[in-house]
Amino acid sequence: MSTQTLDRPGTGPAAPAAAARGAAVELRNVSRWYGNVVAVNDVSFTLGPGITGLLGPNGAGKSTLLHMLAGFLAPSAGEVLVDGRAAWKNPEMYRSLGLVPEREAVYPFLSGYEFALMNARLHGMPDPRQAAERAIDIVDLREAMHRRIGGYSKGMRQRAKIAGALVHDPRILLLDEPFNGMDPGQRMHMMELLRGLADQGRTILISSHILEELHHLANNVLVVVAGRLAASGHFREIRRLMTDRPHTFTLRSSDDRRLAAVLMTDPSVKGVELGAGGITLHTNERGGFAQHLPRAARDAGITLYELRPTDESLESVFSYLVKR
Amino acid sequence: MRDSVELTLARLAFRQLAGSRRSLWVLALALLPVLLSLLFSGNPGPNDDVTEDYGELYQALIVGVLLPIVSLVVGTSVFGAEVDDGTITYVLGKPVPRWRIVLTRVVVAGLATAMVVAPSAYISGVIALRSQPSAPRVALGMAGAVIAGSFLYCALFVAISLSTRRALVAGLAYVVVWESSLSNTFGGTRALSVRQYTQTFAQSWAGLEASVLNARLELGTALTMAAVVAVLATIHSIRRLQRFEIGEAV
Repeated sequence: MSTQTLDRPGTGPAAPAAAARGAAVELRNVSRWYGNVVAVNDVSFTLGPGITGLLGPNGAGKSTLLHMLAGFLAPSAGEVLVDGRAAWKNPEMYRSLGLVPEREAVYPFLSGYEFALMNARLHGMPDPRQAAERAIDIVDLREAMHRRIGGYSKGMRQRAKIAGALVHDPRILLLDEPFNGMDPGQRMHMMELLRGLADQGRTILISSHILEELHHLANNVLVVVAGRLAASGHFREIRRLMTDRPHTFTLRSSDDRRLAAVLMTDPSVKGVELGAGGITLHTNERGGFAQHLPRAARDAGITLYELRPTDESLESVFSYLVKR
Repeated sequence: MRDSVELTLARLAFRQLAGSRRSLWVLALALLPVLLSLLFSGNPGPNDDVTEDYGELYQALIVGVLLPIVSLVVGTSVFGAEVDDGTITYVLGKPVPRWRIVLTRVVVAGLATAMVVAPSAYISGVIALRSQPSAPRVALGMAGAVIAGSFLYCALFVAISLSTRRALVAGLAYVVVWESSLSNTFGGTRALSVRQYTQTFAQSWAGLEASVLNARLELGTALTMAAVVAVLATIHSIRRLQRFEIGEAV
């Protein structure tokens, strides 16, 4: 299992200033295990200004990584540094860190404004009311700011959580699955909001188990599989890796034997197996094969009954990345 | 002042306690001694000593059940509820030293418990002893003792709730097994029993004869041991919270 690092064009113009201050977030050979189970295995990376996506299937160790960055879990081995300071057992580091946890629960008896105010007071802000109102304005929640969070929609609740994380104007923002349960409109709004925050030079880490959520948002993507850093690089590179991998399909048609023979002549097809349940077919170019198949079937006078990808689960996509 | 970290933490903890459904049960439980004292002081038997009768009610129901149960419910939920729903991250993810969080929550839990148990003890005492001239003093002393007991139990139960996921069971085991069963059999356990401290305080502050309450400790011993228990439990809570891990066990 090797970690491949692609070029990182996403550092952008804010990079020199960040270099002068040191990386906002740094993991050095970090592992974390629960009893005999290894949740995070020897992960190292650094993050600078801009949005980075933390991608991986559920249970890959994303949450464990984020919890360690947030100072809520001790690394079993290695170092987790936030703003140059150890994250574990160091409450002072929260001065430069804002957290948006995945768990949906927010004190339902508080209004959005009261929640932001509570956060500002606990951060010891000199003028907590002003800080709370500023954060409410950033997330565009002014109209609903005096309503109880218990009555908020998912999108509004998520924005209230972000307002709470922004009251002290942190340099670093960690968001755990911020798009979960949001409708497309709320998602767009959230993306705009996050892009704006990143443009101000903040270091933002967003975890997700869906690659496309990070489209137009995260330049840099870290892929975590089975506790390891499987790949890291530009969003486009990661997506190319994921789509240009070998694909396997199952096909059923009016004449499987003849169709198999026809498909063998297609250069995009790498292998064909004929079985009782139909044809199993391997290709390296999904796009080319998708165009070729209907034409070939029509020309041969064969009717297609079923075309099914057999390995589209996210886990198989990720495990492909790991094996490379 | 309004913006102080302690007040913010305290307000949050109070609002959480007040909003939980458990609070209703707790309040209902607190009415029980008052109702009982109303009932049996209405028709005292011919040879009854009302002070002794009330002493039994106080000892069995208020100190034996109401105080530990309310403390257990309140003490385990000041952290427990937030740990369960994950909102504890909003408190722990702040540059606030952990000892300030623990002290605030222990004080809030103790206050909340005392606000329920002390009025119950005082009112039921005044009702039951209304024929006695010493009633106000006795009732006040007994209420004062349960206030001290509230803070002691809460310090203990907060420590337990930060030490085990089965805090309710562990706390109940302490109350039922250690304080009730074992204290009756083995005298030595009494020196480590909040219930015994509370009874000793009550006896001494209410100016009662030794026969009324089953207090078997010297006041000095009870005061010293109570202080030791409170300090040790709180230090333990602070150390647990400093190392408190939030994450899913895989």
